[in-house]
Amino acid sequence: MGGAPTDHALVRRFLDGDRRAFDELVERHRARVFRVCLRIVGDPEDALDAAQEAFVAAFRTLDRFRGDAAFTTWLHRIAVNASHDVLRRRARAPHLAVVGPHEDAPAPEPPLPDHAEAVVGRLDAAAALARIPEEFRAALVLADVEDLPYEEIAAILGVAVGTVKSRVHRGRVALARAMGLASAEPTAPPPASKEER
Amino acid sequence: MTHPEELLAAAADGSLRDPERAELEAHLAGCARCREELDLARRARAALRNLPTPDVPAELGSRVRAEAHARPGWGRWPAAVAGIAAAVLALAIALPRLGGPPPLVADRAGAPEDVAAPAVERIASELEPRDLAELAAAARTSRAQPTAEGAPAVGEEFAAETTALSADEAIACLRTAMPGVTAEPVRLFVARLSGVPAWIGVFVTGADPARPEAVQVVAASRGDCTLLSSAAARL
Repeated sequence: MGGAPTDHALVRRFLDGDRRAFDELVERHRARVFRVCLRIVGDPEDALDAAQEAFVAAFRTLDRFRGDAAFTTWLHRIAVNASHDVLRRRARAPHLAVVGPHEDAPAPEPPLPDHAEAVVGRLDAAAALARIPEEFRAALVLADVEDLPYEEIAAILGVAVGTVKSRVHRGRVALARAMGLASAEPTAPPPASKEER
Repeated sequence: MTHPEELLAAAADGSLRDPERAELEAHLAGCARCREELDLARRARAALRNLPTPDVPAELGSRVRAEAHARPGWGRWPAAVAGIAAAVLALAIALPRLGGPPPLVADRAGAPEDVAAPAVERIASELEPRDLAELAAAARTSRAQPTAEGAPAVGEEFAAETTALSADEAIACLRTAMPGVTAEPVRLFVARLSGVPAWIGVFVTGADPARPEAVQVVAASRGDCTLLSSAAARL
């Protein structure tokens, strides 16, 4: 064997009482989990909350992880659910705009320096993700940010492969329109999931 | 005309196989809308794949580790179970802020090392997850038998099968359901929750036993010790 232990081996070690095995799992998957959460919730602060909640939920329920699924599939499902929870909470919370400078004010979507050539009026892909229906967003992030096969996305989301493909396609088209890529675009914009600044 | 979204999805990322390719091409020849959508889909995918890899906040690992290693008194759990916000809210209303620590906690603070496990009490009415908040309030303020108002009573056989139960078994099961639980429960119940035979534990949490921070109620299935529901409230 040699090399790094598999995820399954780490799960077993954790369940046998080795708490550090969980640290290793976190270290191994934190970038992936944070990325998924960030692209679904859109805001880095919210993404940090979602990612943390995902790992805590994983920690709490690791004993119920069935070894017949890939650990990453299971963890992705938890990350998607945690992201949706955060979005739901945010939607419920009253929209109290922070007026003026405030030390805790969340930074607005950071402008991406490598998009200097972006045409004014267009959104970059990250901002456009926030404008497409949530139902499509998770499937799209898993397909085109994480580059996962449709079968795995179906397992993560608990829906049929055909449903995943349909959501991914409709999500892509909605994203392109939100980005202003459509040439002769119908005037109605896609329904915004929340108020934009 | 129906539009072949599944084929378009596969075409946009290059996973379309041969017989499907011919099928799609036949459709595209006569459908301007799908030609446009395929073009948009390809450009959307390219834009998503070109997104920069975000920096992962350094505190993610440390916050999770702190959570995972929080041994004494389960102190950091109230923040971690924010997902059950509705239950927390209900309980926060049920538990007006009181002055000193509740009596149950004072007992525990006096001799934190050798607290005897509480006897398992039986709840004779059918519970729903929302009743856990009520349960926490009752458990915290008195030794009275909590009942869910208006709930149907459980049957005779339930009473018969739940005599002389082992508190150790209940505690072990609750800890299996929620591995982060390290505090001793202040109340233990056997009940039926949404029709499922359940153990219910009431825990007082907080890093310092003399300064309890929250009441946490955990319900685990008696059959396989999976987590059924949970509620928490800050004190």
